[in-house]
Amino acid sequence: MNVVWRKLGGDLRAHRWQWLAMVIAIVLGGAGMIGAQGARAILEREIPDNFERAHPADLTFWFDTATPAARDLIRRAPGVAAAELRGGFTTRIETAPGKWLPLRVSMAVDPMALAVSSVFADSNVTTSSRPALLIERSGRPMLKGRPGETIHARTVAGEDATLALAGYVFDPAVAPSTQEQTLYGYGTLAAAQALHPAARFDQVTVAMQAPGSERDAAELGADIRAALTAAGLAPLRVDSRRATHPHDALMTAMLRALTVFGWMAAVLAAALTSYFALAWMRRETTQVAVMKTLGARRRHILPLYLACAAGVLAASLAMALPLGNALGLATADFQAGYTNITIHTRAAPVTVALQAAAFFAALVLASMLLPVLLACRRPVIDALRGPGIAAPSLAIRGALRLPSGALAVGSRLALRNVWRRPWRAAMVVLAFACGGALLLTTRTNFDSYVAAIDNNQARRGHDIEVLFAKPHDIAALLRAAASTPVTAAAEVWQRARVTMAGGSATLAAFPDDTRMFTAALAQGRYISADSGSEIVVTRFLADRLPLLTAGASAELGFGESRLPVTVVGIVEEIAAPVAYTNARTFAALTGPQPKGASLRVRLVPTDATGADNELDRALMRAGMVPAQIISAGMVRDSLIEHFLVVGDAMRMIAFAVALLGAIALGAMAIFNTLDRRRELAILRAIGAPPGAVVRLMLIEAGSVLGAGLVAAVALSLVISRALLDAGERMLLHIAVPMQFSWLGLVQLAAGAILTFAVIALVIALQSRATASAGLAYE
Amino acid sequence: MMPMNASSQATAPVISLRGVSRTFAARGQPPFHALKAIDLDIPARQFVAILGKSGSGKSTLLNLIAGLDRASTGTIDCAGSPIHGLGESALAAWRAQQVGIVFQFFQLLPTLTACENVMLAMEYTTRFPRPLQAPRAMALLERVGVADQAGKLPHTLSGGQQQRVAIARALANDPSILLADEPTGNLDSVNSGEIETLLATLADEGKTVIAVTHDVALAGRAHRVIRLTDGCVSADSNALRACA
Repeated sequence: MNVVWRKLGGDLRAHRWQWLAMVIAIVLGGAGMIGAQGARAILEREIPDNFERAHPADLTFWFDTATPAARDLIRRAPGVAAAELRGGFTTRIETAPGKWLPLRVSMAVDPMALAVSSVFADSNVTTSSRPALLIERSGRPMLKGRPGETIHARTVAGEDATLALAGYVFDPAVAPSTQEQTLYGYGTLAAAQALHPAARFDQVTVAMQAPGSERDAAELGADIRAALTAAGLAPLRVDSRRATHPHDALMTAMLRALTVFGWMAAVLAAALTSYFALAWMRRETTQVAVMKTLGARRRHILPLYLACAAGVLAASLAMALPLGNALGLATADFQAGYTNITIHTRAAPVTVALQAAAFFAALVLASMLLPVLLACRRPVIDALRGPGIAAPSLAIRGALRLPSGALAVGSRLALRNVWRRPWRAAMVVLAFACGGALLLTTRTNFDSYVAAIDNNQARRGHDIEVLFAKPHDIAALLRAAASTPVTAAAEVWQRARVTMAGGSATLAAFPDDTRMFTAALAQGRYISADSGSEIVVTRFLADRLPLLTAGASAELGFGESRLPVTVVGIVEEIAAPVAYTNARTFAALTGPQPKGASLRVRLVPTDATGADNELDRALMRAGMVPAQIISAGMVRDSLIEHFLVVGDAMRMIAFAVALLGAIALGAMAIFNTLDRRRELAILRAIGAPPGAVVRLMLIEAGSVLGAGLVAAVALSLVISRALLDAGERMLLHIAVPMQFSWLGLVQLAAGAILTFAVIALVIALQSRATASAGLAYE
Repeated sequence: MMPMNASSQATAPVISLRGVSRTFAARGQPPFHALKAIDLDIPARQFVAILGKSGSGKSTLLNLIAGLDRASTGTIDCAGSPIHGLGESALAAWRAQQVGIVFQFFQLLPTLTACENVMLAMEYTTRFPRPLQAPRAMALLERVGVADQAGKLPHTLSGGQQQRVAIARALANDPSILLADEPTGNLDSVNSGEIETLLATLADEGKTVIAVTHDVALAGRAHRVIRLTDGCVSADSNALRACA
């Protein structure tokens, strides 16, 4: 073997721990990058694939009673691939003793053989002589029952009923039960009638042969509607779906978080590798100079070290690729659980892994190349000079101009040494700051979202909103609400699905004497009391239908009726794409009707526990079955569950990054004591006790840690604001002021103190070497 | 070799080594005996030059006297303290008060100015309170002739200037013993001569100066020359001792 390569082999053996640390950094960073990109690729493919596999309904025709004749007529329409009778109602299911949650029952002729909005078996499906329901699998952690066991539910009249749990199914088109705080049940008409004796099919769901945009679906719906009307089977309304999953925005946010993770892992690993390479080349500088004095030129020296770096990189990547692949699969599985999807193809595209690996390799190689180039370019005379007289960095020379005041010389030395190798220090600060910033950001964002939700909820004039599938008599609703002791005040609002500004949305009308329309105004003004053509829209709806700006004109459509209106204001309400108007405008569009489909209730300010249940039973007793009961607590729980999808991923990322930062800091402290063994020995030689040397190193490590903490806080403020802005736009659609998480800062500080303690221990152990050994160190 | 005055010769030994050995053991290799049962007395105010070939044990001997290393066997009494029995902290405190060390490569801390390098040594004793440190450091730099360089970082100084600063640092706590390891080994002849003069002057002013050197000129200015060969004192201008 060439003697030069033998030298490198010897160096590798002599400094094997440092090389091992470099390999670990590259393997972890590479695996993180490849894993994150792989997980993203898998999820990006599987999320829409899951949604499409269910053949979601492109159109839904609503009838008072949907008949086979109507279904068959729709089936025969050009462009229709499948049409099926469906029906649904909402009742209650007991998930734990005394804990009742909404149960959305979906009826079909054969729930296990649906061609539109299909569901898939997720457990063995049992047959029973009793009425039986299939339950959507994301409700399994809440229900905990096994197929064949009894489930307790309520009839729509509020009476207790028992059914058999037929099994669990997977419905790819619904948001997870844990997030919605609602269970989904599927059964035949006969089974459903055990809970709702008057239940009947009231919808025909349609899958188009060539699904297109919402506009295409709406056009087909209009054609079929005309045909149905001509045949005397006119539907009540026609809904066309959005061509995306209901949790599209949430899933997009999750995928973005994965991308951030990939980048962070790559940058950190590169920073750490560069740090190790700097330490390596610092040791090699003199040897490079010696080789140059022997006649070696840059073209002899550069390939030597580059080959060494490339070899280490290649070996590390060979380990990182399978590890990253496994990590990607595990991450995809973890996220699939959260988002309730099934991963059908458990492999990321090879090109994704190779692209990620290539990008990562280039980044790491560049980070290793820089120190090598610097070492090779250094003049021989400088490199050969004895230790202790190298020119310190510009930062140190700059620091000399600053007043050092009452600082002891020992402290001055420690503080200047922090920036003695500014790139190394900056990398460690960057690593720690990134991890800390992400940790803080997750906390701050969570606190900010919760505070924004709580503030928004507190503004609301009502505590519970009850929605009905069909309108009920206003007086009857108010009587039912007043019959419970929990009701302090109640209002009945009208609701209708209307078209506007190229899309469709819910139009809600408040009563003239409302005290419950308290949504915060973001732009424009509220509706004039005597107006007959004004609406305000929520920011969510304005974001979805950009034509709806404050002051814009729009045309509302309801069936054949059209009404020109002016959007006079934008209001803020959490995740509600709704337009609000007064009863007069609503009546102008839909015709006068003394019925309402929404009951808003303000509770007696005592213990509100179980108020929703009590209200639910009162309405059921009155024969008006709520489709949905939305209480403040339920909204809060549900939204928090949504944040956790992204939040848990972010926390995982943050923890990994902070850990890398802490490792980087520890490595820096250890290499500092090793690198500067001779200098520390000088201090010992001039009388510094071991404690003073340890203190000096700890001041240095503490300063870097402190700088990292400050940078983490600053960075977290920037990232938090950016993410909160994204959350405002994509999720809540209300203003989200930042609530800095002091608890997060305490946690971060605790982590920093723990890191500091570990570093202190390591430095104390390393400082036990004799001063003469340090003086002999080259 | 310079003659010593009578009063110096009468002084009791400030450094006394009895049966001092130092053995280095490396895994898988036979032990290396750097020093073999050395007995040595050095009186106060003596300027001693230790000569010997590379590997003869000169620097090891200096490290043991400075308390930077520990003898494998034997006792070392320096400036009234049995340093072979002192712990690390006690040794450091003793060193800070009693010993100043000058190195071949100067070993100034690159991030501190010349003045701060001198002040740093005073940080480790209570002898000079903080307000007195800067004036004393300046006085010492004046004494060695580099006061005009006080605010500069070491890399901007010449080798001779750096060694002067290193000597000023060694004198910072007014030690009774000054140990120099090849103090002129990295200097040109002009600077070497000036440093030799400085060390000789310090010995005349009452310091005990022990210099490990290859420099014959420096040895010529010493009161006493000790030659080490293979870890033994092979020649001593005071009294020849046979290798045990």
